[in-house]
Amino acid sequence: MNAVTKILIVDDHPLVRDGIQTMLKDEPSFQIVGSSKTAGEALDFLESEEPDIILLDISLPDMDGLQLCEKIRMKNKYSKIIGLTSTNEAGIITGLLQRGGNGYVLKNMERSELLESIRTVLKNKVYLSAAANDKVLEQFQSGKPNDNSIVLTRREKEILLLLADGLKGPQIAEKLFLSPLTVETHRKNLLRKFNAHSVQLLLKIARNNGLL
Amino acid sequence: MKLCIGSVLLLWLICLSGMQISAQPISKHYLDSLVHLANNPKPDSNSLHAYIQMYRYFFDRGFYDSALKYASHALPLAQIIGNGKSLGQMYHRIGMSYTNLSNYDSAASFLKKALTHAHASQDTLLEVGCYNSFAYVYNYQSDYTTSIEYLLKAVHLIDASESPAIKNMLPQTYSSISYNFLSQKQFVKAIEYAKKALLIKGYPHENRYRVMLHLNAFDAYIKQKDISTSKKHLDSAIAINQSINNVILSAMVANNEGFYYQTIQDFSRANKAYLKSYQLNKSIGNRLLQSEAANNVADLYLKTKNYDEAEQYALEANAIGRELKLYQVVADTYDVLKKNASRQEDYKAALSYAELNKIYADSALNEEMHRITLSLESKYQNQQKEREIAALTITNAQNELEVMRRNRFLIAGGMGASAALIILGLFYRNSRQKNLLAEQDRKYQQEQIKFLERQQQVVSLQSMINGQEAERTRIAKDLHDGLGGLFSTVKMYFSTLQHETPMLKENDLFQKSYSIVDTASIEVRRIAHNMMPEVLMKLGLVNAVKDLCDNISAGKLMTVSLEVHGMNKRLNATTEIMLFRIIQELLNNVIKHAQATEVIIQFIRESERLSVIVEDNGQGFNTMETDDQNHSGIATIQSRVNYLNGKMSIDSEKNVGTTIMMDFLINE
Repeated sequence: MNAVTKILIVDDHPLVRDGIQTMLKDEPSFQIVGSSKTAGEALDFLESEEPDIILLDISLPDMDGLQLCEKIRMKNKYSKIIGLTSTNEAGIITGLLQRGGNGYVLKNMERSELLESIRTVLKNKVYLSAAANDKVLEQFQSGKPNDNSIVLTRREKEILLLLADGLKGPQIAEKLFLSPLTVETHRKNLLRKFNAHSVQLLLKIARNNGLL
Repeated sequence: MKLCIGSVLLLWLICLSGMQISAQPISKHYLDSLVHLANNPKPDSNSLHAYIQMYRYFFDRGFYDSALKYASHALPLAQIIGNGKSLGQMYHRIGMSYTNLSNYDSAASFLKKALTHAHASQDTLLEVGCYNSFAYVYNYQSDYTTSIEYLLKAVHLIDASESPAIKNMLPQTYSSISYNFLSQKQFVKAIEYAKKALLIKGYPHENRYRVMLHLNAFDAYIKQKDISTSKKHLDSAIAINQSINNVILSAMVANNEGFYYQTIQDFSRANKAYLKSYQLNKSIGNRLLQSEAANNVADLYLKTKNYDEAEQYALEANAIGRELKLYQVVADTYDVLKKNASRQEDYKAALSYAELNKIYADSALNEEMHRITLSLESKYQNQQKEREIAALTITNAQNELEVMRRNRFLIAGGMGASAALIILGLFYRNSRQKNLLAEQDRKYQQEQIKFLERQQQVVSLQSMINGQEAERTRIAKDLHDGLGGLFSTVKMYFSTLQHETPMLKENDLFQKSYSIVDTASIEVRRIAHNMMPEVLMKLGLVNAVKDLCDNISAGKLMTVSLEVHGMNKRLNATTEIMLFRIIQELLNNVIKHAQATEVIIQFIRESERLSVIVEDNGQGFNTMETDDQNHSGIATIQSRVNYLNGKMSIDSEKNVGTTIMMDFLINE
């Protein structure tokens, strides 16, 4: 790829903007075409320009960076967006990717890492810095398989069985040595979890799902 | 407050019919010898007799389970030893026991068998007894019309009979008819039958029945607002009662007296009378009536502003009521407790009592609705049959006179009207129930408003905690954007420097500085994250808790799963932070103490209600132990839950696990 890569930096911190510019100054193929202090400035800039890369800080004074990413993505499908942050939280990383981000780099990066991230996303690949990569993996590996099945708590299982036996709230409370209020909450929770408006329907769904 | 005078009368009827059969008293000692007799390895007519005696002993004292047990034991003996007559009587006894145990299907089937045997052995006394018992079965199911039909059959048999024993059943039968009319609110008819019965003289236990009949009349008159006539009947009942010594009856009279004084708003006398009824019922161990009486006493104490006494009796009535599943009594007592608590400005307790009151009132209403529906159904089915018969008649008459045709329209119209009435009635009940529920909701909301007003007073504490979290947020942001940015930038420069001056790679001092800056920036990130996770701010509670769960699960010591329903809308920031801290704290507790392998965190939101549950499968702990390490953690959590106006309950079982349940009202 010989053409010049046009880069927009969005960060409210002047030192950080300087730092990034310094890291990129020796790369003739990378050209910084703009730097915005706020989301508003960035959006204005993007009205007329279409950079290849947007380096986006997610903590901006006027708008949340994740929202800005989503907003940019609605109009601009072309530019590759790389999140540039100091946080390493799985929710934020996946949140950015869900909103159209292409890469995620932590601010305490090496120069080489920044360059690699830009080159990677230009090839239509996702780039995550090593630490972010570990976080996302953690999220996928620890979570139970997401098969949308309803998980019942121990008490809910007990109460479901007793409801199936035709017992009423106060009777269940007595049987399980719980307060009727507690049982009522569990009952309401069960209805909500199964999206049922009546106990009959709840029991029917539970049976169909092999829970009874 | 609903008065329970109706059910008291009804029970009295059954007690009396039991006593009609067994006049002689039986001591406990005698009972022991009966058990001995009955357990004779070679059963004979003595064992049968012993079983019957034991059945009577328990039936008269209201222990219907035991009564049923002994009657059932006696049944095979009666089949072998006894004749058709004694077998019929045994079926009748079993039927009566089932009636009192509210098992009406079984009751009806045994009474039917008894009736067959009564027919076969031409035992008219038993037949009359069976009709009377059927009348109870239907009365208990609120089908008063059918009940009266059976009683009229009994009256018909009694009228046709010459036997004095059968004739003596007439006052009892009239009394039951009167009671059924009373239940139907047909007060004129109720009075008519009570008076008919009062005219009869010279039969066994006459005074007992007279007391009861006067009480029936009293009830009918007072409900017609004829206070002076009602007072006359009450006075007669009191006078006759003094001449006989029957505790149940005295309790009955005292209860009616209480009702009278309550109606004329003489609360101190009403209270005295209810207290007497309470003591009498307590003395004979009738817990059902004792609970109802205590309920009345509590209500009256509340009216006369004797709050401590009110609470004491309400608690007693409540305990028995819950044990015996008297939902209305339990609901009523929670109402008293609620009023008391709000008077003492304990609005939290008041709110919880109000909720309990609502739950039990709902249960009571459901039972009542269930009974009404049953009776409406049977009435509807009767109507249906009548309709079919009428339709047949009409077809036959079709070709006859024009007049007949007009009649047919009249009948059809009438039937249509009556069907419409039934439907209207159903709608009415339905809407009435809705109104009742709406009313309850309104009261409940008022309670909540009061409760929230109270909470306003601790607003200074809240703003302190609020300030603390706001401070944390600010520091976290400063660390991230300020210090974090600085360290990052230094690192960027170092990194560029190293790129431009490759020999720096060999420079030890430079490499040390480089790595320290790197460590420092990671450290800043860690501290800022602990102060306030960014994901909590930006993406909300659920995402933050999900991260937390994944973090812990990644450690492989335990799996934390998250169940979320109805949380699409974010809560306000303060609530989210507080809930996050609570979950953090609870998970810390689980990790430190529970030795669990699985944890479920559950958020369920339904309009204003938010239920949060953290459940583990760990070793559990004793929720009563106050010096436990667990407890200090729990206290912190409890204060946070309080801050959100929530309620927390802990349900822990040794070696099974702990469920912590929190309920919040989200009002935005």
